[in-house]
Amino acid sequence: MQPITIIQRQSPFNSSCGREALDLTLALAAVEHKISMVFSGDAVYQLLAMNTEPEFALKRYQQSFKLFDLYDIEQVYVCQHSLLQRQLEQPEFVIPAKIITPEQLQHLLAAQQQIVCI
Amino acid sequence: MTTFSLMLTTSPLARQDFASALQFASAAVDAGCQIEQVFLYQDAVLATAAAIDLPADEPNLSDQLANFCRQHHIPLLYCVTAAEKRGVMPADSGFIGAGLAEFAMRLTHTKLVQF
Repeated sequence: MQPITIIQRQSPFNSSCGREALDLTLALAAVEHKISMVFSGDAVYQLLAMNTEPEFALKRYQQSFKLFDLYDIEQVYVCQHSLLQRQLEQPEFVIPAKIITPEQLQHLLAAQQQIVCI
Repeated sequence: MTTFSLMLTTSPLARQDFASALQFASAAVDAGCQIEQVFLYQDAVLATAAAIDLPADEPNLSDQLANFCRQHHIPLLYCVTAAEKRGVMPADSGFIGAGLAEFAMRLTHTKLVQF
């Protein structure tokens, strides 16, 4: 099947974009497309440790990132430039993710059949 | 000739994406290309709402897209889950309820253009 990259660009809780991009990613992976996921811009916040207070009012959909293993989504990348802009110098991500330079990102995107940007 | 999949993710009222997609689709069909699917996701599912009532001087892009797809026999799909989450009751005017899986399967062997 096709190599497809999903680029996430929105912060986790300001909109439904992160959640709906995740649903789309899992659906694409379920029909055997080869998925890479890139967290760029404010989307890098989606990968940081979550608020664990029980009163937290929004769905913590990031817990479902743990399904990536099950769906064979191994290529998860974080934009280095976006981390630096936000002074996230030694971030701890909730799932294993590779930090990627702008040049590496260019190569990755050039090798894709489809790119979805949400 | 190229076969395209089109995906829309924004509200038809709030942005120009439906107008752009219509222009693109029209040009693609004129050039002899195929369109495998038009898929409405996220806020674009608002286009399927039965109760849309626009002033006479505002173009109804949802209707225009539905008419275009009907005329050219292009499957016009919307994500059922995204519509249910938004409480949208789809009109019976050419929009076909589908899952993300159907979009993913139809995507194979097409080129995706996102609006």
